[in-house]
Amino acid sequence: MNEGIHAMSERSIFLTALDIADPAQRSAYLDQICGNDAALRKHIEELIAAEPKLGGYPFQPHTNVDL
Amino acid sequence: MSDVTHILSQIEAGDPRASEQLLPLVYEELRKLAAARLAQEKPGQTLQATALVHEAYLRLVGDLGPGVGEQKPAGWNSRGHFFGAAAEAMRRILVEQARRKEAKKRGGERQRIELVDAPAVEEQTAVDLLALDQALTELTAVDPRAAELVKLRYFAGLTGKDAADALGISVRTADRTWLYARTWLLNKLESR
Repeated sequence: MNEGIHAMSERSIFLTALDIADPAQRSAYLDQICGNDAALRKHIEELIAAEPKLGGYPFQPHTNVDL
Repeated sequence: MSDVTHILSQIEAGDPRASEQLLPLVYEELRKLAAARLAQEKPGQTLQATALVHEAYLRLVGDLGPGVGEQKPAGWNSRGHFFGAAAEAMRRILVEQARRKEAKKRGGERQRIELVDAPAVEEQTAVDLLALDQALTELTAVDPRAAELVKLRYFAGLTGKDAADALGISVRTADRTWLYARTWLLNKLESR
């Protein structure tokens, strides 16, 4: 795993891909931007699949007892 | 000038050792505030991190709300340093508390815990918090800026605008980064 190198780019790739509504266009963008980095592409696709499930996650914590 | 105000001005002046002095002071103040509040509250009462952090700010730095007061003795840069330290302090406090609860559940105090009638939601929160903190540590290695934003928004309870100001980035960038960070963390926790 060499994720550190992708630091900025993973974030911007994800956000750019998320903005592309058309699945074919999105796929073409990922083909082009990820090249043969299959791990990166897989992770971006996981993130895009997870995004609709976000809701208000993560809710802000409350502190109680034992401090 | 309070200790914290002094340290903030040293940080602004570029003294690298000043940052290290800030965290313990903010941490102690937050613990004291939380303990004092809890002593007055009914059992089972919860406190919001946001309220604690803002109260600590008022006590340690003073009333510097932008737009309201006429003067702003500490700039947004200083506020950013303060809230960064407060977010880290709140993270530590909450993680320590969650670990203690976990240890008690596993350890010999099971019977006492059951008598306390702890609501199930609270248990869930404790477990989730540790998993979330672990995921956040992993995000720090991938995208430190995104992880810092999570600390400010989640642990210090800053709004998108305040967190953006604290990091010196645009609100739009902060909102987009927040979306990425939340998605990243959710995906990480779901894939466990």
